[in-house]
Amino acid sequence: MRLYFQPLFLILLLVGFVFATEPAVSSLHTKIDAMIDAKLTGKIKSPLADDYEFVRRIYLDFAGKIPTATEVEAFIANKSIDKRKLLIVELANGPFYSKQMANAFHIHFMERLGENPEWLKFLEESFAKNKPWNVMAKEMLRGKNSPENANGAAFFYSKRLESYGQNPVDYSALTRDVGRLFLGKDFRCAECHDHLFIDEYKQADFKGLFAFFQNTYLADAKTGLVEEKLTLQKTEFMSVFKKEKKEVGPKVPGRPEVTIPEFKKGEEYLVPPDLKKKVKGVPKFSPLEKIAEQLPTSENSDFSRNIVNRLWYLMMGRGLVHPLDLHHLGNPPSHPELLDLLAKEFSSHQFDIRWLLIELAQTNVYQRSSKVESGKIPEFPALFATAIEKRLSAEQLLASIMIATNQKIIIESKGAKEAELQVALKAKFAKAFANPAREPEDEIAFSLKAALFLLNDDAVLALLKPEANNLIAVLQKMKPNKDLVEKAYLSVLARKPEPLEVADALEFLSKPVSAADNGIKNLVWALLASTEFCLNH
Amino acid sequence: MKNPNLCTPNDHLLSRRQWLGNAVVGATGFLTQQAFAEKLAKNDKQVLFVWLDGGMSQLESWDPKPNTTFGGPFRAIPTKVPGIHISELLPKTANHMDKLVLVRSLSTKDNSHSAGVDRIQRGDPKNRGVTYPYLGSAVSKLMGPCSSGMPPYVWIKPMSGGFITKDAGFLGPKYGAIAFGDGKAPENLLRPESISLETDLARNELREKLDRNYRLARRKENSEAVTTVFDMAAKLQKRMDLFDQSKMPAKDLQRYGESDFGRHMLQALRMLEAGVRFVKVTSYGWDTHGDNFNGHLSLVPKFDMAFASIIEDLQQRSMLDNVLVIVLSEFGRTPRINGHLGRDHWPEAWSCAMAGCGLKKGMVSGKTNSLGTEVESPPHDIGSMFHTWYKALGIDSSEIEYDNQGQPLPIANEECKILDEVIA
Amino acid sequence: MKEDSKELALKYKTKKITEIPCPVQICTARFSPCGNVLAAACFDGTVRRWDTASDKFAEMPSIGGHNAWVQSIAFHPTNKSIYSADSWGKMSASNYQDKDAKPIWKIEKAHQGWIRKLCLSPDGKFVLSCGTDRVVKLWATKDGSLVKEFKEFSWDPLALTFTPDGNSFLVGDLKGKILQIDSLTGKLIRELDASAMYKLDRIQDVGGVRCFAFDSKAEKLVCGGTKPTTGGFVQGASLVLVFDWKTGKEISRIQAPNDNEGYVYDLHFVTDTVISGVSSGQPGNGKFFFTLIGETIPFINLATMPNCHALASHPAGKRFAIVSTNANSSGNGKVLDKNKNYATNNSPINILEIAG
Repeated sequence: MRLYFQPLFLILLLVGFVFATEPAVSSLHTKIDAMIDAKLTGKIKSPLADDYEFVRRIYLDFAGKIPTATEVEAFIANKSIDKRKLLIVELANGPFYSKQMANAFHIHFMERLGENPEWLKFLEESFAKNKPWNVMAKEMLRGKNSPENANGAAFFYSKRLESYGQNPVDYSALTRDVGRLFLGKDFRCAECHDHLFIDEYKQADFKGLFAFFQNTYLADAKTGLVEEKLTLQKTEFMSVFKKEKKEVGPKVPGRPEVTIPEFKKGEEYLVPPDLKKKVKGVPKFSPLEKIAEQLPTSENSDFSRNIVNRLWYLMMGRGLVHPLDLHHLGNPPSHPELLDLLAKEFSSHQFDIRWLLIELAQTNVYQRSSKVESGKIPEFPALFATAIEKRLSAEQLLASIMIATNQKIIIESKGAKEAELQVALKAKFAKAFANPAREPEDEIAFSLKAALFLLNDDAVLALLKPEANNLIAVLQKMKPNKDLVEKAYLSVLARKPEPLEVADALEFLSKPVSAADNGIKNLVWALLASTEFCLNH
Repeated sequence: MKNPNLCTPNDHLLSRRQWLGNAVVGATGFLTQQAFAEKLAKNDKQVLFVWLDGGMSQLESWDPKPNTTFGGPFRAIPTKVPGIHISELLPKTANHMDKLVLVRSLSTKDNSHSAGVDRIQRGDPKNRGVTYPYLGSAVSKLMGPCSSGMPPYVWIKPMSGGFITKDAGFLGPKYGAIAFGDGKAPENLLRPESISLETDLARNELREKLDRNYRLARRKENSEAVTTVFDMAAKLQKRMDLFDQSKMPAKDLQRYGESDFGRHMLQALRMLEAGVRFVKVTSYGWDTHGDNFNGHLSLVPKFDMAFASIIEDLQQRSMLDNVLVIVLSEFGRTPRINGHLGRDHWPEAWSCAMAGCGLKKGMVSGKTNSLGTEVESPPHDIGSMFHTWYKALGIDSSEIEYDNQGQPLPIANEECKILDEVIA
Repeated sequence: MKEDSKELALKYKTKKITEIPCPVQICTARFSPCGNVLAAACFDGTVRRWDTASDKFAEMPSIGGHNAWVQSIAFHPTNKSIYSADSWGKMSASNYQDKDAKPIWKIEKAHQGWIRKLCLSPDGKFVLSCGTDRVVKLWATKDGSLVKEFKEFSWDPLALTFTPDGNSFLVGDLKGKILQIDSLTGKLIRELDASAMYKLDRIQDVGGVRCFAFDSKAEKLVCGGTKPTTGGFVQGASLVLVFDWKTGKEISRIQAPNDNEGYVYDLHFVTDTVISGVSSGQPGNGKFFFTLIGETIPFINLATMPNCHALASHPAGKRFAIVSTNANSSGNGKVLDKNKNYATNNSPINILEIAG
């Protein structure tokens, strides 16, 4: 483990000791910038984001919420030339990092199929401990669980092994999801024949992956217990074009096939089945054990390339390979050498997610403004010349609204009523801003549903009631002048208003319709409902 | 067993790169998005898309084969157009045959629902690794909202409503459908009493100012999309009456039939009148694998009442020239009658009915053989219908293409040809 | 299984005598009162006949002249005629023993639409019919003249039978009503509740009372149908309701344990305490069952014949003709047969005999 992550060292870092750790050779983030810049000659490149833009962005990415007005002001006031790096490292080691990453990975890997407290716990603990990605992936792919000892990692499988209504368990979908999410390859069209326009996607790839899962089942829906039936032979298949029988055993694409061991009849089980006791038995041969051994390894380049592309996407708003699950020759990365480099470095850094994210956050690519000079048209997103606006998850949006309107009482209370309110808010926000199940949240999608929610939903309007020391209460105690407007802007948009914006706001507050408190409420509402607030720009 | 995810041999014949190559060659002929937008600015053509989910039997509706092996118990009846016969279960529609076009030469792929519904409503394009939009999403992308500013894609359906993003495919969730569950208004449409109209206007004016400012120096798409969505919310809020079923005249309800479907079709008429670009009405439960004939005897007359009434009303309001009416399912039903007296899924040779919007009137296009087991005339896949519908709507599918983040994509399967003979 | 059930199962155990092939699907089949002819109403507008006087089951020329589906047939108790009705509203009487089945009379438009059922009055003077035009009509068997119409009821008739005394008839309708009507006055006598046999699923009316049978003493009425769970597929558990005829109250029901067993299409009293019946549900599902009146579970429940649509009982009492459907009768898309032609279905007629 790198020195960074020890608390004592962190303190040293914060006092500027960081320079001593700079390696002599050029670090990954400078290499990244060089590779991105190489394609930007003669292109319109946005300048680095100012401190306001940066501080909001890094908080959203590493803490899952906007900074408080105080945090913004502290950052602006900090004169250290290395303050961005300091903040990056601080947040990446801070208390909210694991929560934000858990949420990001939850959305990524479960695609709103459902939630499970053990699963979220698994993610949060993994990110808190900075568990290497290969280890996390191994646990998810092993799917080992028991009623006595719940293991959230198995939820990746158990949710997908549920059957809905009359529909049988969709093993094909599970196979596709493993291919997409762990290898970056969507083998959907290779289920029934070799893929017709992606030469590398073979039917055998799909069937080989499928062979790992075909005998898995959800033994207990309550605990998410995943078990396996006997796998005695290879999976037979036939292309719908070439009626030629083929077979394949469990096989990770590009890796050697797993040999299915032969047992004497009656000796296949570790725990033999017992119908009377309703024990279904535990086979000696476990394909899940094999995929957990074989897939998440440094020998498997698909595994590394997929995750670095996804982490790049999380930070930059677009994958180097885009869409994220179509890695193939016909859809090359926008920056092939960069993807190679990231995959190699990530793997040689023991699949250290926090290390990679910190490197990415230090790049100019990440720190560029999302603005271009007035009148100029931004370049094609894949060039990464201008920062790409990113979607806020429903959870990021809720957490940010709570910060913006300063609902300390609700967030920090340990009371049952407040906890209940938080759960209800979470569900409402998810309903308004999350995609439906199986729809990846990989692009900005502001909907009529979201607009109506912001306009009229009780939950939003309730946050605009003056209570204790929340934002509305504080603003209402202020005179309608520049200070009030600045306070509102800093709290909600994490920046100071332009002079014109101050004028607009004051004019708004002076309107007859804005009598007393309504004006302030609606000023804050307009800031919350603005595009600027609802995106990570 | 057939696999629901099965791609068919006709998929993916062209690689994305090949397509890109072709597109570059033909690029001079393509209209830019901007020019296209201007061209469409005055186009207020609309679509009524009636989706009979599960698969209506062509033999008990548009293409009866009375007194033949698979003909079933029903008769065919003459219609207002001499020579055209349809099932006796559609007596009211038969009276409006002079306004309809029947296509009896549909021959599509995929006989499973899970894939079939998607395949048909997405127009079965070549697979280029992207999910194509449903027709409703496609039309709302290609044509935008009507000048009314009402939401472009509205879906009236039984049971729950909501915002259905999956229809939009690669266009992105904002082109999804707004579904009015059992015709009811979406959640949060009604402004709470605590906010006056005046306040509402003022707070939104301020929000718009903020967005204009935000947009100045950034990529325009995102904040423009936000603005569009808020504008649409405002438009819809002004039309709460559309959801008030007590305002539906009893006489109309009676004409449309007092089934859910009848009410939903009447509401669809009002949505079209209010200027919604694309209205989809879904009726579920047409998957008559069992007791098909009693099933259709119960279902088709309910469709007949509502459909004949809406055609009549559109005509009477002089809207039919502007509204493209389509009646479709994911497939037809097998000629073979199974042991449960049902008919199974049948994409091989089936029919759809259309009307309005520059289509010919009172004609039948295509022909199945005497038993209904094959299309005898040149068969048409759903891609052909998409080309045809686009043409009727004033969208030239040979000129217009999607721009999927730099990836040009045809709006309809380029291997399918337009069905020219139904265009007036 | 109870001890007496085991005994009953042994007593009524059947053996298969033969299977008569029929190249087309059959709506229903009946034995003539003399027992020498078996007639089947077919999907191709014919009534096919077989000579059942011997065990050769030689096919006789079929009766034609109908359109689409011949839905219902009925034999006259004495005068050697058969009445047949089709889905286009035509009804005719023919001599069933004749080689060429000479027509006696025919009515082209007996009903506007699909005739669902025919039945004969016990004295043979009248034939009663009902159709999708929602009218019940009483005809003279002699010449086919219309005697009376019953149309003021809001019913959707599917099943029809005279009551044993011949003074009234029962209409079983789609929505699970059973109406007893005085055949002389046309007045409603009473209504029995079979609403378990109906469901409105979305906009589809599903189910309906499909068949009736009385015991010889007119003490019990049984009716067959399904307890629908969904439209479309039409999932439903086969259902037989047993009514005490005097009070009109349901006294027991026989309901299949799962809902893919579909409709009970025919019922028959073997003795005054034992009924037999057939059912057809999801393709491949079909039962031929025997139940003791009052019991809820059949003591014989043969599942060897897929999709049984009719049960004809031979007047001698031991033989049954069960109309089933070929196996693998369903399938999406273009299913081909062995000769690569588009597959068609057919209805084998199984002749079974009580062995005991």
